[in-house]
Amino acid sequence: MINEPELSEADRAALQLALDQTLAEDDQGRVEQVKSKLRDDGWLATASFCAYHRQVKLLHLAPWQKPPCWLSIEEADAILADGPHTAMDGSGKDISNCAPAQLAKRMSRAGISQFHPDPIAAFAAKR
Amino acid sequence: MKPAGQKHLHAIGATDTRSALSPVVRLNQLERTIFNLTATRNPHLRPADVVMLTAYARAAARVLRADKLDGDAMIEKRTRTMALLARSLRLTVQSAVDPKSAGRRRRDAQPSPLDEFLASEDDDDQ
Repeated sequence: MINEPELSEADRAALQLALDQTLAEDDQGRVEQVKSKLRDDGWLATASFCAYHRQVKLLHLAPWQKPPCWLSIEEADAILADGPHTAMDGSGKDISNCAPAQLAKRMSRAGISQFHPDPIAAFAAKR
Repeated sequence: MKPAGQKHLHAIGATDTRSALSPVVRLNQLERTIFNLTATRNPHLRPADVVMLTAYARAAARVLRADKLDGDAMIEKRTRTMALLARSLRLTVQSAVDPKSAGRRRRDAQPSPLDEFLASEDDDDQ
């Protein structure tokens, strides 16, 4: 659980961006949900939720995959050390969290907040 | 010059596929191949479907053999007949799969934006 005083300026900006992007979505059900959450739970909890929502949406994460905003670097290292896990249905699909873990580490090295709602766009902006 | 049905057999990639189902009337070579191909590649078909499957095989063969001399109207009529029979037998994707499932399968078969990003960026994560 993150505490607001521990947030860097980059993290605050990323969380606010996630909130702004979610409130700008066409899905009015989502917009109402977030507005209600802002009233009931406050900025940090709502913006964190929005970061999760936008990352899952834009990265097309599978249900078992953790978004970068949920991964500490230590956890990412542990996931990568464990390696990929192949699905047993014969599809050859990797059902581990290695891909999100790789992204989380690259974001950290690039100085991109783990809460950035659109990590791929953030990398493109840095080029 | 190849026999009448041969070029069509090559066109549909037919091999010697034998099916447990049998047509209700005698079919020519092309019709028989379409019948067997369809029966073996659609395991949901049952003995109760053989009448419809026989009709489909004949209709599909007529479409494959159509040429300009038949006229556009006739070609269109034959194609529609084939399509109608294909839908009845649930041979088409639209009639066999829920649209959401079909869309999900198509999406899942493609790499995600994350996978594409990681593949495009040369980096050492260890």
